[in-house]
Amino acid sequence: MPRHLAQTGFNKTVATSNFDKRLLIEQIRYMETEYPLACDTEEHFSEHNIHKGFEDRLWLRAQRLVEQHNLSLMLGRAARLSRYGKMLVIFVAALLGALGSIYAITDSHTINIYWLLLVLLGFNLLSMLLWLTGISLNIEGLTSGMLARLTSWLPEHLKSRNQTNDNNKNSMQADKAWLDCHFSGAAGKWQLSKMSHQLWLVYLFTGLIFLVLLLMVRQYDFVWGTTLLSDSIFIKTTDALSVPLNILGFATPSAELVGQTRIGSLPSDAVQTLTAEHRYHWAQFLLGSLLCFGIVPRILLWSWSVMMSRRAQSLFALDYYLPYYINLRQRLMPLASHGEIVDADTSPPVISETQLKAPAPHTLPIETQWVAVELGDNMRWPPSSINMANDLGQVINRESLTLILQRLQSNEHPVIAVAVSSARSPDRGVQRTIASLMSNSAQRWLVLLKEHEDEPVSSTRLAAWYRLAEACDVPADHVITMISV
Amino acid sequence: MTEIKHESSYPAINVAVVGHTNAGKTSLIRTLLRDDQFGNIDDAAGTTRSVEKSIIFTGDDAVLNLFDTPGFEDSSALLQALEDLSKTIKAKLPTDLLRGLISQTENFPDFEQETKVLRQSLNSDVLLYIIDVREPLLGKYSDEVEILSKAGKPILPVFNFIAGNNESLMRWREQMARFNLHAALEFDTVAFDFEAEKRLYQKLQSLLERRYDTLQTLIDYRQEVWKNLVHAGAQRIFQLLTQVACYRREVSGKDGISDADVTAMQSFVREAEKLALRDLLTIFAFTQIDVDLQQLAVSDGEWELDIFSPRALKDFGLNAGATALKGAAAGAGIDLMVGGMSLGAATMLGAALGAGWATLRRYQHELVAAWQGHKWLCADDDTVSLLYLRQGKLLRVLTQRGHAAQNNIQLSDNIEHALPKRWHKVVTALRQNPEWQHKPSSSLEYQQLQTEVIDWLTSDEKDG
Repeated sequence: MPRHLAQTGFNKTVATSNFDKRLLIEQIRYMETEYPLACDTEEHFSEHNIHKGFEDRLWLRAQRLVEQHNLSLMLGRAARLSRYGKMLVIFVAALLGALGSIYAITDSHTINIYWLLLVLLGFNLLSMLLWLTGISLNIEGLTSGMLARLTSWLPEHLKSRNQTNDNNKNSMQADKAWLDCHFSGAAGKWQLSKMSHQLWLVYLFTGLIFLVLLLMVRQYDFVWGTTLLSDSIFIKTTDALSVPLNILGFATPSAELVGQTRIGSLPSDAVQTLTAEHRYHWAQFLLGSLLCFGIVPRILLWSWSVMMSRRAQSLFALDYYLPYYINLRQRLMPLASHGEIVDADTSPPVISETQLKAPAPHTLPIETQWVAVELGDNMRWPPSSINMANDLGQVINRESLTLILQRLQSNEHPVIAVAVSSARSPDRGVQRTIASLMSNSAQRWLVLLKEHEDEPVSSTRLAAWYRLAEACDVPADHVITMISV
Repeated sequence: MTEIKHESSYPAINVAVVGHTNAGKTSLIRTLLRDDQFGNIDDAAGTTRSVEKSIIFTGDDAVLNLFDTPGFEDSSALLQALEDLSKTIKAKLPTDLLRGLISQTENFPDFEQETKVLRQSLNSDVLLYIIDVREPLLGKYSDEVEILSKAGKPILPVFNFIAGNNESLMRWREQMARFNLHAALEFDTVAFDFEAEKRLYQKLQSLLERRYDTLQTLIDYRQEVWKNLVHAGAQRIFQLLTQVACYRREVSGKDGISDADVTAMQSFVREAEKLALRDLLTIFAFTQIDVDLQQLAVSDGEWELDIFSPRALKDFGLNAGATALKGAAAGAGIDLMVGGMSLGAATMLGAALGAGWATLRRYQHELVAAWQGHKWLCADDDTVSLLYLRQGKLLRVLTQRGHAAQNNIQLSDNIEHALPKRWHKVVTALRQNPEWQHKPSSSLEYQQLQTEVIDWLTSDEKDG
């Protein structure tokens, strides 16, 4: 395994879930939006022989950054804090459950059975119904409620308190990423659901335990009463609620027993005779209801949420369309390699020391012989200012060059002017051509033709023409301009 | 975004980029590589003097080896030398003649650069012959083609600098046809577009039939990458629009909207647009050179024309008279009406526990603001529309679906015509969700709006 891969902990056998990987990558992204982090081995991850997808490369890079910048403590802070927070909230829920039970039944020796059920299960049922509505209609506020508000408010709040130092800013960003990944989107919805079911479970469970404890050590009388409803409704309700409890093996009060428990239904001396059976059945009914209508549904919903939150976390995807990832993709998975020289230039570098004097128009001797070299289609040759008899023609290919060279040989030492287009760039072929045209001439002129007076000529081009003139033994003051009309 | 993976067991295709000096070989490779650091480019002969190789990948697989070669400078003399050489050595095949010349480099010191070109041509699968169509048809160019054809490799002429040079292009096409080079490619390295790149690979497919599938993989891969870039750009624009449409600033009821409030809103919009511009240029790897080439009115990473200037409005066909756009709208009226409707529904549903509290928190500012006579200051519709049009145009330039230079903003005299039909509905929907200003939402509504706007930005029908 390459050294840099081993370094980044790539060979660690600890299985990391996709969600945890993506969480780390997102945390790094949040941090890098504040301060880009330098990665010393980034170029390794862009090597094409790694044979890894983009996400794996991001993961390698993230791990390397964690090591290089010592980030692990910072990145784990949110998880740590949330663990403490969760423990605290669970403790509070347990306390509430216990206090709920205690306060509901300790103030007297008579328990109003339906009132107690309402206290212990009513809010639970209401919140469960709201949660179900929220989940089925996909209303964000209902499913997550307070917890969601808290998780989105917390980072902003902390941020405004900790604006001062960079390190703090960085860890705020890491925390924010952690919260966003866990508590927003589909994953967040189920995560929060899971937590709320868990808290209600704790609340109900401690409630149940304390109820059992109290019922074990104290003696209570059970009653019920109503102002608006008829007694038969209570009897029917109790019957209906008893069906699942009976199946589970709880003893439940019979219709007769229910009737007798109504406040004021019995003469005071009858109370004692009914008490033992009556207390036993009502206590079983109470505990069974808590279990059957409170705890069991919550356990089911909790396991469903656990399942769904696992699923949502495994489906949690990074938004590769973000400019941050687009940019990283270009760096970590380049479409092409940088250039690499495979056949190097061995010739000595060209040293150009050419004087850049702007050439001026100049009148040439009457006997000057004129040759044009590769003027192009835009320039007419010869211009009207040149005597047709002195024009030897234009070089455009090998044949025309041979012809013109033959014509030149018939004259002894003429004055020669080679006209070129100042707009075109000279190459070695042009230089060779001009050199061969001038080889027998005593006086050499290089004429840079312009289409019109104001035509600009770039300085690099002009320099190239001066270099050519120098190579062909044309004195610098023999480089002149001319209008081609 | 889908991960693109491909397993290839074929060796990479060797492509030699050849041509006369200064024809634009290095520019072409830079464009194909999207790498403005590759090689040296100068307006003088012989800028590239070595053979430089770079590799084009699909995922992890090398598909093309591109070889940048020195330019031909004296092909006529080289052809003469080859003809002379053919008399002294017995070359059965033209390739033998070239090999003969290469083996005797010491006898031809003038042709050091040309020898490199020939050596690389013999070792390549295909030759891209780059032509500057602005050049006249000279003998030396014919000589180049004649020499190259001796390498016995398929040659694909690539016509460069074609913009505005139609006549010359026709002449060059005819000239190449005389050498039996009928398949040719128009590829402007100055005004490059993805379709041209695709055409290049398709032409290579027809020349290298045995490598058809490899090249098809490359085309598909590049297409996917390109599509992702365009999508990313459009998504960034949607984010900007959301930020600005959802922007709210509380103003006190007594004094009404003050200049300071408007200034604060304007600088928020400017900063948001600046960041979006930066991101968009980064996504498409646009440098200042590209910005200048495309004549984008951008300098130092900022729009030259302020979004709130009267000219910005006029440029996009909105008549604002002589006054500058304040860009501000009082949000209270609209907001409470819209907010009130959802408030009623939400209260009904959430009148218990956390949900009730959450709802109250969500609307508490509005309720408090309404009670105290406060107002919200928002960016007005014109500002959001203008941002949309300007970023849309930017995206078209970045994706080369229209060149700023030739296509200088000729929108209709009425801004409404330039906007999609459902534009105002979308903006209203965005305004109703101020919490989107800070963070993209995973809600269905957000996703749908985003998809809709991205569709507008990436489909060609709306191209003005």
